[in-house]
Amino acid sequence: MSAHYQAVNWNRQKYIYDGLLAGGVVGYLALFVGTSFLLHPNITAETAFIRGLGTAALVLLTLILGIGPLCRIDRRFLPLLYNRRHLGVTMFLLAFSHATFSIIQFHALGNMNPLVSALTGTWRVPPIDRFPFELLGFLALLILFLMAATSHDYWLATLTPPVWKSVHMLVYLAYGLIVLHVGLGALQAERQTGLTLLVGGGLIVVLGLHLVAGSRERAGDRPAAAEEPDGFVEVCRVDDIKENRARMALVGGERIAVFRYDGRLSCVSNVCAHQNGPLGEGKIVDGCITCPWHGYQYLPDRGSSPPPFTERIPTFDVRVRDGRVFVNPKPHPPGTRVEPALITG
Amino acid sequence: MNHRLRQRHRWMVLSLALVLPAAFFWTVSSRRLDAGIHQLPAALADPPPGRGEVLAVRDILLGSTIVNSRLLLDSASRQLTLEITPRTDPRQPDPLLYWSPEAPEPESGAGVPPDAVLLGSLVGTRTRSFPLPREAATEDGSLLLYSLGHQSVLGAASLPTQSLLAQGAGAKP
Repeated sequence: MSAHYQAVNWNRQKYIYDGLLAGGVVGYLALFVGTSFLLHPNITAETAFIRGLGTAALVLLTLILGIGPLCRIDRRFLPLLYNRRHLGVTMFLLAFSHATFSIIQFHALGNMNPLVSALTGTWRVPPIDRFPFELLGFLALLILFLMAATSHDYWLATLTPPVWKSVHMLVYLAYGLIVLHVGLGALQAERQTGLTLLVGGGLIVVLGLHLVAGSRERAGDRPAAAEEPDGFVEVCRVDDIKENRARMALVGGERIAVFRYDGRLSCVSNVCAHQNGPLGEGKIVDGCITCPWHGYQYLPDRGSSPPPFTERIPTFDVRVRDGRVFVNPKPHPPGTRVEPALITG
Repeated sequence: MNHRLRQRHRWMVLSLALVLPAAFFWTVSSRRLDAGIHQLPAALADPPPGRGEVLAVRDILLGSTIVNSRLLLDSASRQLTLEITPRTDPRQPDPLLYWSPEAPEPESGAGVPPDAVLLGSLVGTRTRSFPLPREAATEDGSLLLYSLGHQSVLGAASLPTQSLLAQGAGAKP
């Protein structure tokens, strides 16, 4: 848990995750190419492989974009999120291979530079079927490369989580470009019902999951109601918080998480220092707040990771009165110890 | 995720939800699947009919495709022209028609002979005219159907132009 560069910290779960991922990709490609030859006996192996790589990248991107909201809706999907960056890098490699083989197959036999040919060959608008869809794919590939190249904790720590997340939010732009790349490219050339359903269905799933999860999230962004004369605000009742769990609230423009454990309450920022994961959706494990995304841990009363780790998050004053929980919106510096509030009665 | 990032995320998703389905629907609904044929230059879409005396009218089997053919001779220029009308679309990737003085075995994996002359594409069932090379007037040859996609000769049929020229109009049906 430090900012020093190091290769992937392999563990058993990562081996299983990546093994399933590699097997899934190889199996998908074999199934796609085999099915293509059955349905279209005249298709060439190169074309079938290029299409297989492209659709594999699209399926993987759809899955990647669905994991976040799925985890919000149902916590059983959290194991998928643990190694999501490996999915992203794999997806970039598939998309890059698709682009490379496409350029070799369709643009390398002329007297023009293949890259120039790919990016300028169909530059005529309108009609729609001559739209330069290759350019859309190229722009998406640049974004995916930027994301894949920074998909490491070194870059996360160096860029800081807010900047890193801003960069990685470009995935939505990349997704939009890819949908249009397919719509203005492969779907213009022939009537591919399967591909149309894949893109259209994926679009419905991705946007539907995000809208459902977003509407649930929005409820958590409602500011806490009553404010006390000394600035404390009421966030919930003590009984609203289960043992070793948290209640989240929007206080002072940011989310906080009030944890209940061993007859006490402590309040910390809801934002994990690692990847800005939602700490309030985690739980207390071995006396530590444990982030649901990657398992980073913090002592609830100090907001700091147990030694030798060095991550720290802001803490907040919290008190209990008449069974109601109040929090001071003014945060303490990250890692500052705050006396927990005792739950009496 | 902090509040500002969450709001940015929300706006990005909402923007995507508003724009992307409509854009995708537009790309699918406005596609013109026959655009390639309609956009062919007029000279290619409607080739001028061959001129001259009809030397022969034959049905030729090229691979699995039967084509109606007429061999024409322009007596002024001594130019031989082959008029071709496939009965069915060859439905092969990038089908090309060659004239060749020799005929390789179809499906043998052999490529086009080095002295073969490309006549043109054989996509679709349109009638088109191919001027034959000068050599066709002095020696018999063959028509080859070659798939660029498969990189192989799919069919071959003899084209005895020399003997047909010798017979003259007597070969007409």
